[in-house]
Amino acid sequence: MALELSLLLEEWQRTPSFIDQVQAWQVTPAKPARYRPLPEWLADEVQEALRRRGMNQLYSHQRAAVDLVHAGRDTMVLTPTASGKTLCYNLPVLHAVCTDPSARALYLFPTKALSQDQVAELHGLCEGLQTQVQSFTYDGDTPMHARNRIREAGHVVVTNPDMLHAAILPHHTKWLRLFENLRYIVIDEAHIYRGVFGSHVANVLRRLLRVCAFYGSRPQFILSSATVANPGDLARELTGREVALVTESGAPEGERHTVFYNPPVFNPQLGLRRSSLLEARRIGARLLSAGISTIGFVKTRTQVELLASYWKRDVPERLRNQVVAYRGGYLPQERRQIERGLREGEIRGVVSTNALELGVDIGSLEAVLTVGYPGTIASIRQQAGRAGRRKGLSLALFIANASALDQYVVTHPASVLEQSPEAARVYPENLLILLDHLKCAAYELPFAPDEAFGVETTAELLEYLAAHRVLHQGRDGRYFWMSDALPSHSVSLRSAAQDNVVIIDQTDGRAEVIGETDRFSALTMLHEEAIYLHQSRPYQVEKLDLENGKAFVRSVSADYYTDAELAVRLQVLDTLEHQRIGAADHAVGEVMVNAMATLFKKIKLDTHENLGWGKIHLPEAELHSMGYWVSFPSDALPFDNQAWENALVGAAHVLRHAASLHCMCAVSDIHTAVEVRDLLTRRPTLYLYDAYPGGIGLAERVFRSSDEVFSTAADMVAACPCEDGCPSCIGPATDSPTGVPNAAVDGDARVAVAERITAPSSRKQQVLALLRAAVHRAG
Amino acid sequence: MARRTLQERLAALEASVRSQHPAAADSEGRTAGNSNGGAAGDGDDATGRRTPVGGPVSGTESVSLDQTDPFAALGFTPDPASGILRRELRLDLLMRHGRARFADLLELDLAGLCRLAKVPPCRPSSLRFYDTETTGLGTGAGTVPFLHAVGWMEEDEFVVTQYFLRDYGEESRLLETLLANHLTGPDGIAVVSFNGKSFDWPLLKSRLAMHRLPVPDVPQVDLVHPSRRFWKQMLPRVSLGNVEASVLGLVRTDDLPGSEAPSRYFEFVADGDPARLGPVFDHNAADVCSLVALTVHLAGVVNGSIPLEHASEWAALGRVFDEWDETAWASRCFESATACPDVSWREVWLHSLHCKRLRAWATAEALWLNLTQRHEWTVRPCVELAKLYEHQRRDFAAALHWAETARRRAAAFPGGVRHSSAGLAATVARTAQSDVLRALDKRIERILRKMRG
Repeated sequence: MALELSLLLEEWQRTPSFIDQVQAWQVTPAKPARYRPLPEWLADEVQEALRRRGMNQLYSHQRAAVDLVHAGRDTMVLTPTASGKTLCYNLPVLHAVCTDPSARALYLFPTKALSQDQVAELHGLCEGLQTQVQSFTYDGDTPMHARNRIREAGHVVVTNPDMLHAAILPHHTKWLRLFENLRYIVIDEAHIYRGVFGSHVANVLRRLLRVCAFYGSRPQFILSSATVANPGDLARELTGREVALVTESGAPEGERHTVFYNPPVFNPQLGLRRSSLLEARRIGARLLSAGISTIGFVKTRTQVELLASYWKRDVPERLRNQVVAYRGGYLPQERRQIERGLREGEIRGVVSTNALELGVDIGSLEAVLTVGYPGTIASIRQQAGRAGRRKGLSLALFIANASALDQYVVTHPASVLEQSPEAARVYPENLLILLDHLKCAAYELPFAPDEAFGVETTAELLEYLAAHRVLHQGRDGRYFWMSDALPSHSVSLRSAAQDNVVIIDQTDGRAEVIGETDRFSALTMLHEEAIYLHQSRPYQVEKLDLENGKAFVRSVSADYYTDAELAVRLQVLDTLEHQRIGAADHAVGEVMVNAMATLFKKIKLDTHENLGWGKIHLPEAELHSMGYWVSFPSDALPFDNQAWENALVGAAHVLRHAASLHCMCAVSDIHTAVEVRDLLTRRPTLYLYDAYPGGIGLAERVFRSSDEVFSTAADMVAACPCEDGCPSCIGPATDSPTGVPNAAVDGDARVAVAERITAPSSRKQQVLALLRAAVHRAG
Repeated sequence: MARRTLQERLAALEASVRSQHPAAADSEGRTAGNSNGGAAGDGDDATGRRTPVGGPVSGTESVSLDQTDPFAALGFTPDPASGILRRELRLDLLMRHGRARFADLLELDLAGLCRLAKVPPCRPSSLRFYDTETTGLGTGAGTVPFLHAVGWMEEDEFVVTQYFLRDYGEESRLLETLLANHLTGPDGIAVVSFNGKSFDWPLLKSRLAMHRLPVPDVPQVDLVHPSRRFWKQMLPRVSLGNVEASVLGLVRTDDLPGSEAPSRYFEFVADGDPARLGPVFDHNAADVCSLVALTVHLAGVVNGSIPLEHASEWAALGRVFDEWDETAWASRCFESATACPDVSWREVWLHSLHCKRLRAWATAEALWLNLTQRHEWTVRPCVELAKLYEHQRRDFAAALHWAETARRRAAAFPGGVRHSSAGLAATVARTAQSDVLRALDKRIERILRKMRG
């Protein structure tokens, strides 16, 4: 098959219509394996078991990792998918149990499907051992009668953070044997634990270590992760410890072609490009027809079905049954069947959302198509890693869509190919998250008055909870839980504010949950009569029940969308830090946002005509969060009020996207607000703030790297092929039109012109001027 | 701008979250008992989260055993050895508690009850009646029993000792005292409780684990299981209160619902005044006394020394004897059940199955005929009759008659194919119905074949 792929790649390189659209074509040469002998310290029976499975040596990174673990170091392994990283933790664990049968290990996987795969692998290895090593999965599906046995006899307990949080830690006295003898905590796919989820998990791990310390154990951490820029930081923020890093993979890699493809522009006037999905249809069908196994990653579930059906239609008859769709919402059994088909080569083509991006074992495919930027650079890399895992030629093809973010990525291929990947950030100090877990921790074990729970301010937090009668300080000074509620019940690890609004589709009498959003966003997205777009399908909101956190929607065919006007009052409560760059003042601090949805407009798709409006009757919402803001003296730029407003609104739109790129978070995690004459600064001011109560560290990150965020934003706007700013770069125009658009100027020349113009009248130029002024260091 | 303190930030942050999620405050502030119907927003504040006036709460201030000791007024004094607050109630053995006297325990033959509870036989003097009041309903690490009561026979008295956890820091000493005084004896003791096997005892084990104390291995006589066997049919819920009222003839006056105990304890912990705990202490002591009355009653039922009133009780006892292979006793119980005025389909049916097991065909036949006549919807007795005539009596015409009757009824009454149609999901009933119909068709076919051949 490698032959077919290499022929096809050669053909594409010769075909102008293809190669002209390629922004980057990188060839990574094949890399041979680097082997090391099995370590001598490894228990004989484990060595035996490995040999019997044909493993007479280890890859160099496996050997490095197990040696570090054996030397007592907390260790993190960062190597590509399918480089055999599970052995990095299985070997030390099996060695420990074989030399001391009372030893225990806890494996944490972010999802259930993953843990099943890894347990199967561990079982296989255990079969060859004389020592009976018991490994069990403990999750919501574990039957009651089996649980007792797992608590007593499980050497390796495999679970997920949610289960650890809600079922194991609050009942730690029943897990005496595990906690007394816990030697290793294995955290697989550690890069998943970022943002709000990561902040929760970091706190759950604090609780875990606290319980371990109580029972006299001090387990070692073994983490595995996809490549991130800041592995050491991530591990420290998650576990509170310094870890040793293993980054050099010794696994063999085949020759890999990475291609960035930008669909052709078919309407230069409007800057319209061919649909990325249709390009993926054509290219994917070509690959499949040539007998090349291919996986397509798309962004939504609808696209999964769509692309899979296109491919089925376009491939030769004999291949039709070998192309499948795979996405969340399928039953586990069906998913297992597809995974097996992929591993065994019976399935040649698959289309998926991110569900397959995690380490589920599907064997190796030859070609990967990533259709649309999946949100983070790590995701792109991991998706690309699905191709050509150990030997042979492989292709990773990224097909950009027309959005500003995608266009930025495709025209800056270095950001994926060369630059370091994004940092995965955890912010365990979010006050609300911290407080929630402090309660859970107090339920589990009383707090000594001088005990630190990750933060120096623990004592103050405990006093606060005692003053509110959640805790009680006993005569010995310790703080005890004082409520008949189980605190972990009201804390979900997957969100910051405990209550979300779930979106329930009532079409055809079903009641299917199709999504969820935070309450704050619900005001503008889910008010009654709003058009809610889900997987590019319009739904109308029929009822918003804020009290019970439910929005009921029904599928409609509408050619308009709604845009709610949110009257936002943003108040700065405390400025934590600020710095001046040129004329601009950058600051970060605590903000309170009061928002009231007042009315909404109906806007026609395509033409953006205003079709009418309606009133919204919802209570005011309040959000306490962390914010970043930048303000300018009003004479910093030759703008009148209207120009300032245009510039601030447009810049806010693009900055939100640039910031999400930098912070490795979803665009919806960041909200914006602008004031032409701000209450605090009395100057034109632009705010970005975390969309979660208490903040999750995003605003602070923007503050720290404002240079990069603003220049990325400026690049996004400058590179957009539109003439005077379009919805994809600086957002839709505000009601009042700006001056006459400038005549079209091409490329870099246009930027130069913009800089010379003293009073730019085009929205796009106004935005660019503002973005540059914000980080322009005079002299 | 002045820096805000962490406390201010926290308060504002929590307030802002709560104003958006009224439910969040509710779930934390509510007490376990929600029986006082109107416990909406305001009520919760009263019980859970009012900030105390004047400075932070501190343990040393809140618990002060000064000159006018309010605990002494409630009968609690410090245990000389450990300093743990305890109260001892000594009850004369001739005192009545419901229908039973404590003295009844003395002569009690416990063999049957022990056998029913699957514990080794034990003497009445080695029983330790145990009940707790706790800070919550879960058995997680943060639920604390703040009151332990143990009752036992001592010469001519029944003694109840209650240990009260005045301060969380004392728990380890309290548990040690409890274990030393009551739960480690030379003469194989057994703990008697109501629902203790799944609540009080695991919770005690959890507390012992928290304090790294050894967990004694004590046989558990949990009266909730035999109680369910005997009274599940009679009572809407087999709770100690319901059993007291309907079986033991006990009426409590001024009793505090057990569910209010946690909030009363939290109030005490906050302000140090135990006055409002008085009813909790009394409720707990009354529970322990009821355990004695219930033990006497259940042992009497199993021994046959207490006459039963209801058919369902007799049938339950019959099944117990059947399990023990004491078929003669079982038969007598089922006969008594069938003779009860309140006998229902279920008891007659159980009796007939007992007879079938013993191959007492004549009695079984009579019972089935009785059932088919009294309940025109019932199917299974018809099937049994068909089997009886086909295989035992080899009267194929009668067999065919009953098989066809069964088929007709099964088609007409989907619920009739199970012993009890109550609470059965319609779909289950339908599946069962189609299965039964298929089986009956086969049976009819076979009988017809036999008649021909």
